Amino acid sequence: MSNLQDQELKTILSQILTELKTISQKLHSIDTYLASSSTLPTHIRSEDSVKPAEVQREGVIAMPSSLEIINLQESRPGIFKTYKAIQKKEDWVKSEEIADMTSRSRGLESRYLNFLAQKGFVMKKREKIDSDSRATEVWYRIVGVNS
Amino acid sequence: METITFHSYRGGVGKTLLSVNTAVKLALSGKKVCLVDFDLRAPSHQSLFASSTFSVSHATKSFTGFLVGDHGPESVINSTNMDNFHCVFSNIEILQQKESKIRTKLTQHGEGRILAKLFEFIRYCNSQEFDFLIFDCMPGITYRSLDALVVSDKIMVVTRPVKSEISGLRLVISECYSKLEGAKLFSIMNQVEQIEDLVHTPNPLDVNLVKVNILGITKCLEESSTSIPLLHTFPRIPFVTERIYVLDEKEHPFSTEIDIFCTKLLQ
Repeated sequence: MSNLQDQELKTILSQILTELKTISQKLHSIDTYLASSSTLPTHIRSEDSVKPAEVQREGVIAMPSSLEIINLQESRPGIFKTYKAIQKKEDWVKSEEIADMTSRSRGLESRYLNFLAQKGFVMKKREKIDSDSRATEVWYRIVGVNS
Repeated sequence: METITFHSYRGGVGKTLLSVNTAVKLALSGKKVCLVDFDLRAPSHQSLFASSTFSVSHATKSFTGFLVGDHGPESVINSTNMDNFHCVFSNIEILQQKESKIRTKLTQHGEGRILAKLFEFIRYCNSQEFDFLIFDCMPGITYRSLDALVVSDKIMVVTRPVKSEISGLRLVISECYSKLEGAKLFSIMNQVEQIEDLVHTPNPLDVNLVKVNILGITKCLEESSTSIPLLHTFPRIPFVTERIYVLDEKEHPFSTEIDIFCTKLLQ
């Protein structure tokens, strides 16, 4: 391959790298915008400002109607039980706790809780177990009227 | 705590009479009970309690006000002269006012918000260590009746042996009850004619129609994909009005039926 071709290839790769950096910057700014958006509850934002590095929360909250919950059950049979179980708790809970309440496996409850979080019907957050480790714990919480 | 909702496809089947008497009877047997008038369109508990010997310390705040976020759950629960019996009233006057702030708020708050408030109320009652929270729900399929069904552990499906009830029951089973995973469903057949008690000889056509209707409802429940066992059949007792019989007339045949029903409920 000639030196000329090498040069061209390097230029193209450099352009791709620049584009990727721009995309990454834009995604970062979208993330920042969403984190400060009014769709997230105020208490979450205030907690974030206390422990920004340790806590990462996901989702846009919504309060599902009974009809939405019933319809959800049709697409995900069994999810209704998870939804009712988490409604009994006011604080953040882990999927293990819900599994204890429903007498089902943690994996299944985790899957249902993630789906509920994805729909915005429950809130989800990740917390670092300790500052040295990269491992995180996932917590879920109901969307209340005061959220 | 167990949340029980009395529901039916149509009105006038006796939900209020059954739920109020059941709630009071459970309280008389030592359980801590909270009874909620959740028929927001046509609340009737306040007048029913007023016509009884029951003494209610009237709270001015209604459940409707709690649902729209005007009051806390503690301020809508009325205490009574029975330590372990509490009741919650809905306020028809507020709803009737055309320009009512609450009426506007109910619309503005959205359907999901009311459900969230119901769950909040249940959590509060749980923290107060109630044994039973009983909802007297509005009939049919509405957002509010669905809310009560969604939050319940047990659902009492009240029916009457009339023809229109059969097709309606089929509808609520397929559209509602079959989708409520985790809730235990029971049926109650109310006002069933007792031919042997009649003073006159009934027309054979009428007798046959009653039998056909009872059979129709039983078949509908049996054929349902969802298990809705018949928990109790209440006979039609003449001159049963809207009263708290278990308190005011303990020897009344209706009180006896409620006793039997509550025993089954507690099993």
